[in-house]
Amino acid sequence: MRAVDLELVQRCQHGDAAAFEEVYRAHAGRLYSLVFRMAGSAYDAEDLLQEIFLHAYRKMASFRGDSSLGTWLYRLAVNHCLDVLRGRQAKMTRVTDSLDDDGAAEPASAMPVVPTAISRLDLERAIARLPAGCRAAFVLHDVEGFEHNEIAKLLGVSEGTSKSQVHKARMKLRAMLSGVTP
Amino acid sequence: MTCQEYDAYIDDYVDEVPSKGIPSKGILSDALRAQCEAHVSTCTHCRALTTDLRTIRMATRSLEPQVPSPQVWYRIAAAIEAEPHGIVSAWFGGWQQALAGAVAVVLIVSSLSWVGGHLAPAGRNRPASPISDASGAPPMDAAEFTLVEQQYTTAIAGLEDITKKERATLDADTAQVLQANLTVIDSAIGESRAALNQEPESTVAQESLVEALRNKVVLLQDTVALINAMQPADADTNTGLNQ
Repeated sequence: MRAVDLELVQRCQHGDAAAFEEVYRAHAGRLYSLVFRMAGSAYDAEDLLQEIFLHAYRKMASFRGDSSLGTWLYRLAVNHCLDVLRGRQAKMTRVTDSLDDDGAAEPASAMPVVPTAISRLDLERAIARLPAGCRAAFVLHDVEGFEHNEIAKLLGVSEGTSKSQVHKARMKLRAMLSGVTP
Repeated sequence: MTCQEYDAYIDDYVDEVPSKGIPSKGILSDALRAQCEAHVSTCTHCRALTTDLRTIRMATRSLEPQVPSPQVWYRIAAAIEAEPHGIVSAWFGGWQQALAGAVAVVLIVSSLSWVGGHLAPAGRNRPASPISDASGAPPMDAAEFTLVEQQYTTAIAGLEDITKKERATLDADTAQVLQANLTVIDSAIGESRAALNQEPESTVAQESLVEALRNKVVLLQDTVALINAMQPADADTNTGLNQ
């Protein structure tokens, strides 16, 4: 753990209120970007971010420094997002099954159908429209850079299912960004 | 390699696209990559699909960070304040004082949530969502309009009370800009009220007034957020929070 993290955590553990705000300021941006895309809406993302930091606040006393503070918070955020998504969908496996049954409309074209310059707003909107389970795997892999074996552990699915989810998400995005309703 | 065979490797092939000039680590074996390249070079359909997926992959990598609204921290701070003493006993004292202003903001913001739910399109009193701006709010009857107007007016009075007391926290230029914006909004409120006096049943005039009131609430909320953002350093100095 970095010395600056260690000092910050120790200040938090000793009840330094300003230190916890420093933790928030330092990490809220990255965590919000994650939960924003995992949740699919700014409204849900802000609620999730609040819950994550409250959770971190309550667990701060038990933080041992085995990993960096950022990594610890990030894991906390990912797990909380997934818990919420699972709660919404009952079980991630059901999401997976439904996704597997849900054939995305694939534009059959001999020419690229996605504009070479995709606007970020269009892409964000398209990601938000992805089904929750499919979106989680896609965000973790394509946006956050997790490997499929890591996503498989996080989501509690097989590595093959993680790959399948990401593929489904990409195909759906292609359809959405080409103007074809998936 | 057939299209069906290529389909099993396309995602790995797409994932090997270089990022910022640096090739991704090899996912496919050299032999498989060569087969994929050979297939893509001869199959227009798979080439188009690969191009699209790579375009999406590259665009995804360039997504910018999202930023939470300032209200999130205030809600967190207020929630921490409300934690049972057994958990946060060490946090009481200076923490409580430092958050007093923020808690007040949260209470006012919370009081507005009902208003937003009944009157405004969803999320209008918070930063606009880049994903959805669908409204779906039903039209109001006269009684509901009156109630909503009262709620906004009360909220504005509360926010104005805070901003007047803490105005000195802001630098002169910022205060001047905010005041100029408030003047414009107040003018819009006045014009809307005048229109409503002439045509009390006009939904356009109602909506215009509510929009102006809502704009004023948002501006005042932002002002209070700015004031609170300026306060921690002062609070530390004044209350000895870190001592």
